Amino acid sequence: MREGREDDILMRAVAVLRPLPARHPRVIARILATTAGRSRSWAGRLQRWMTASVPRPLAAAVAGLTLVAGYVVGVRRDESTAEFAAVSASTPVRTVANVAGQGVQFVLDAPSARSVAVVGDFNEWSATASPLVREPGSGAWTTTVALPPGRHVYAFIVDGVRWTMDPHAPLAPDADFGRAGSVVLVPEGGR
Amino acid sequence: MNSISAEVIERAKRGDHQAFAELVEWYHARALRFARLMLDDTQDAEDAVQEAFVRVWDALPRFREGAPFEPWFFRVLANRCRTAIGRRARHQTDELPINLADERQESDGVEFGDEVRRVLETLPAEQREAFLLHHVEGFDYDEIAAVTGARSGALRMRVKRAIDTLRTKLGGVVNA
Repeated sequence: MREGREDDILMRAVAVLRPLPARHPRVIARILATTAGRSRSWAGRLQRWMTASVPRPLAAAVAGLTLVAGYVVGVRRDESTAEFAAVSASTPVRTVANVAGQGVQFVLDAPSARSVAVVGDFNEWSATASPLVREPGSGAWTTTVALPPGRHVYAFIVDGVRWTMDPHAPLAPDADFGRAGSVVLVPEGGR
Repeated sequence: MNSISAEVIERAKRGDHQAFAELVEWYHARALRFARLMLDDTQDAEDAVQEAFVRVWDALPRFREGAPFEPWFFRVLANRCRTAIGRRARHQTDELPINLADERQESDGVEFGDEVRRVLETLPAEQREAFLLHHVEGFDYDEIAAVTGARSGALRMRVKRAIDTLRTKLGGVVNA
């Protein structure tokens, strides 16, 4: 009798523990953004080991050497401006504000890319939420995203797999999923 | 227990990120459940799950074709949870451990579900791990041996001790 009652307690306890949590899009997005473009080759693992284990200046040099030439990351503030603010790999990414409700414009100069998307804490690191559109006759890809005031971390995903950031740009080591990104600051009243 | 198809795992192994996304969709809820119950901290659990999936992605090329995937996946996840527990222990202050179980047992009106989770938290990590893998995740002892690296006999003893503790401490709640 006592044994049966104890089994009942165990069954009730297990019943409490078994329900699955709801689908968690933020967790899934972080996992997929982290693994997208993450090399599984020995070279990629060596690079990660190097960047995690060596002093920062050398780590930056190693990371810089592995960046694909030609990718230049920039952010511009006004879609009506003819020239966009592409920044070189040695120049910090410029931070801009929303302007007249148009949002922050992200620009990536990637002439050989087939697709580009911006991922960040503002779109749950979704590689599909904010695609960039190629500007006719140029290698620049752009999109404008309305961002609330505050600090936002972002990066670009090129061709669906390549995580693109500037190792010399302001880093956000506290990026949501443990991978550094770039930072854009949107001040209060910037709209 | 339903399993994801071997074909999806094989595609992910070959580097198909879309297949890996299917794998994440399939397992992330179970992974989160296990990690939350192991770590009793939502943020630590999410971190452990993320780290586990990233390691799975990295290690998939070396996953042996035809081998059971779930024990392998939970082995990676359980290791991340152990690492988190170890990290937490290293950062603990010098405060004397407080037996919250005994303190809270005196409170009135405690929900049974809360009490289950609280008692689970008081179990030694290896007992909690074995209990969850067997009674919540549904692994048999051979599979848990593959997950934990412990022998089947030792695992049975861990689960038995966990059950004894749950029965003893929850019996008081049920009687209240």
